Amino acid sequence: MTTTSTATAHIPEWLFHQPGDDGIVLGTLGRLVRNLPNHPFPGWSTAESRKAVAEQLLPGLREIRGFKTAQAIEISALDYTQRCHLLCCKQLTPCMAARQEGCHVLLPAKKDTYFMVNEEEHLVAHIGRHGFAVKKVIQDMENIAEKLAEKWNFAYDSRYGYLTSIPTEAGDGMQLYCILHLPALSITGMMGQICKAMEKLHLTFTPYYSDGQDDTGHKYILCSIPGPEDSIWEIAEHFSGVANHLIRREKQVRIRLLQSPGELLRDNIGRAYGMLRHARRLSIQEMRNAFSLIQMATHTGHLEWQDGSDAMLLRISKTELEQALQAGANAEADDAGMRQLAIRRASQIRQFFHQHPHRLFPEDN
Amino acid sequence: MCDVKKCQICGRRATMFLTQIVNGQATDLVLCENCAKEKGLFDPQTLTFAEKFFPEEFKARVDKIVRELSEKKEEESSTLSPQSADCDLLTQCPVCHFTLDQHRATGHMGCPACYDVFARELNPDSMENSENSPAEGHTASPSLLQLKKQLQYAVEQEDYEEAAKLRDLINSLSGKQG
Repeated sequence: MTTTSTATAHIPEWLFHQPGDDGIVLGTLGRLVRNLPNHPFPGWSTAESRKAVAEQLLPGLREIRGFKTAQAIEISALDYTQRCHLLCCKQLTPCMAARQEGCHVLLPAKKDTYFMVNEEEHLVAHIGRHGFAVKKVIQDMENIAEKLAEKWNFAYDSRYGYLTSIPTEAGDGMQLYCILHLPALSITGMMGQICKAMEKLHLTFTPYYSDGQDDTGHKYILCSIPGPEDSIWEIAEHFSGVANHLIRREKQVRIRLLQSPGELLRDNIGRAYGMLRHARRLSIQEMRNAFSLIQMATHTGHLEWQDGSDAMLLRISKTELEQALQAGANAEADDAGMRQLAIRRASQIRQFFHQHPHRLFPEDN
Repeated sequence: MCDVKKCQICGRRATMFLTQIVNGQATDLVLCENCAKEKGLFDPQTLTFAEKFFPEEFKARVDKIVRELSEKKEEESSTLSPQSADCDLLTQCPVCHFTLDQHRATGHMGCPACYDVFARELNPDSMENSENSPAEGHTASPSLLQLKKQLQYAVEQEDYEEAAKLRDLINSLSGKQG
């Protein structure tokens, strides 16, 4: 159990704001899927069949460079909190988090590439990179696909490409995700329409936090839809075009809000700061929304930190994720438990601001 | 008698009409509700927003659908085979016992072999090619259609070296198949 705890304590850095980034794109994630012939897909298989697939795949995956010492954890060995942690860190998909016997996740200590065995498909690789790194992620996916093809003969059909449990997703088995932080578009109330518009562009756009209903924190995942008709490079062109357009719009709206006489942006930042600095009870949703504006204020220079904005952006991101993990672990707590958690969260956030000297709206002085 | 337009994809009664300029020519996109939903082009209000907020990306998306439809039409007229109607439609996969009804209800497949078993359900017009398309194991060579798409992409990207390689490969494969 100790080894499992260690593996699930890792927080991938590619998910956070990093020095020199634009404060909008947090990370890019590639999903590569492959299936073995002659085995039912995991959603339609027995525990024995899943076990047979795992026995076939796991030893070979360990031979891949960087995975020799990676921990293969059976999902049934993870408790609820650990599953929430991996889910929040995008090391596990919601489908995988709900699985049991014969399903494994392979987590290397020093790499941002993870393998899932018997997720919705027999083998799923997640490759995370910081920032807007579509090209790099595709190249990495292709490298991994090449290594995998040396070891196994995967289910392939010349009409559809690599076969998947959902026929419309067959093709080269690759999918792109991009995690975007869009506070300006969110506070101007445009996200609902943008989410719907994405369907028209054959992309999906969902809130970052995994329950889907919770769009707090102003973070979203843009996702490509795979299919037999398009190669990943064709999809990438369209995907990058839409992502870049969103980034441009977010920047434009930020500028427009800053120039607007109503001081909407500064007002929102000031309110968020006040809440985090002085609230005695904070829900996870309130904290996410307020932290989102604080992150943007740090980027735009409305909040100056003595420790430097880059270091603080990373700390804020980590604190936000830690709080999200705590909330996930206590999701089933009763009202009194939730109240206690909200009080503890507010206290931790006040302490955070107390520990890191800063100045709000330095331009006012 | 009123002229009922039919969906360009499935032939049902069309309810959505989009006119797009492709290569300087006005091209009509005529779809039924289901196909429009499948292509992500339903809901007129959001369509207008998408067109305004993402003008280039939206145009590219519609262009692509129009192109795919015209390609599909060309392929259908060149490859339609009377033999395809003779193929039997299995209702259960002998490998994983997944049924056709389950596929229709969930949109999923039970195992890779289901692609062959339910091939007619997936792509009714391509049964004549099924003998050349094993569902098991890795096939190193991609299809002619995929290669042609790669060639088109290479030309668009002005990667002429890659385009020349692909052209030669397509020629050699076309020779073999012919």
